Amino acid sequence: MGELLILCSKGDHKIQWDQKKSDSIAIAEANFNELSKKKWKAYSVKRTGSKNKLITEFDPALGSIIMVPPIAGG
Amino acid sequence: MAVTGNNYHSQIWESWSSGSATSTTACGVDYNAQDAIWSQWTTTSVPMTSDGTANNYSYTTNVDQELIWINWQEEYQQEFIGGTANVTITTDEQNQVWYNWHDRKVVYVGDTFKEVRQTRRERLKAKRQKIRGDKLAEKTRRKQLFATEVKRRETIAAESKARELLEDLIGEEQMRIYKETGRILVHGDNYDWLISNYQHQGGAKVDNYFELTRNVKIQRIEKDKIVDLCVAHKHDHEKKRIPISDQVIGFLLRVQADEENLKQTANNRGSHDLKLPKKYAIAS
Repeated sequence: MGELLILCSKGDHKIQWDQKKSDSIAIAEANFNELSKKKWKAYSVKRTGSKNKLITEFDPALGSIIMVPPIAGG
Repeated sequence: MAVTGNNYHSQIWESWSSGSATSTTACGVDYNAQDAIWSQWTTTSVPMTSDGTANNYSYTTNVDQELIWINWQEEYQQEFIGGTANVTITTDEQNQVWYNWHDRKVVYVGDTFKEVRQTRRERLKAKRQKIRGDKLAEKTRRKQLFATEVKRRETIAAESKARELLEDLIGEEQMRIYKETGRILVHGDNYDWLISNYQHQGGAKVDNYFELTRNVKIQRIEKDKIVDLCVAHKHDHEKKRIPISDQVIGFLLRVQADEENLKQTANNRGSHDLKLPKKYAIAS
């Protein structure tokens, strides 16, 4: 079971997928791609302390992905 | 018949008002009706009738009449008993009725009865409009309060959710420090970074949801100095600002996985000597 966490005003919006179910993967991937086009950054994360990794392509094998809005210098 | 009880007064008023042809208003009697009532009271002593049934009282002396009037006027202040509306009439109006009843020769110098009624109608209309306006204002105020409360609760819920995720990422010990100081220290490939949700000039505790700053403060630690940076997340996909702890998460991830991009995007706002509390001082 994988999850795509999209940071939003309500905390985070979670989209989960089951690797055995292609439709759930497709939904997560569509969201991933849509936000990536808007310059959101995606990070593959491992909970508690481990270093996380920037990713540019959706991989359903990854357990947990967090999508973060773009930043701007002030 | 002696007139002593209040019941008589209310009955008189009730008969007077409901017996008239225009009983929907407080002074809903025309002169003819007043005269007829008066005539019955003073001359014929025939029991009053309002709806076809006889009432068991009559008034014959001027003293009785005066007493009725005084009691009616002073004690009741003329609530409209015959209808559902609780309307009072002014003293002028009462006097005019009384003069019409008592002595047609008396010249009433105030407004005509019609004018008085017209004025009262306008006054009542204005009063009703004011009441409606007040109710509307109150409704609007309550709506705003409700919306504010909903937003406040949503903010708390969102922040709580963000903190849960943050704790998952940084662990209990770092989370404890974050709650206590409002800061987390993140190690990048090239620098250490301080991510803080404190206000720039002191102030809110991190546990106070309502005084949290809108932006996260980012500082890069370079040897013996701290570089203040200015950088912020853009709004989310719904054009709304993400919770403060989610912003911390965003910077945490950037520092760990995309440090160079963060360094290039953030604007340098100056630097100052490293002054952390001893407890959190970084060993050189």
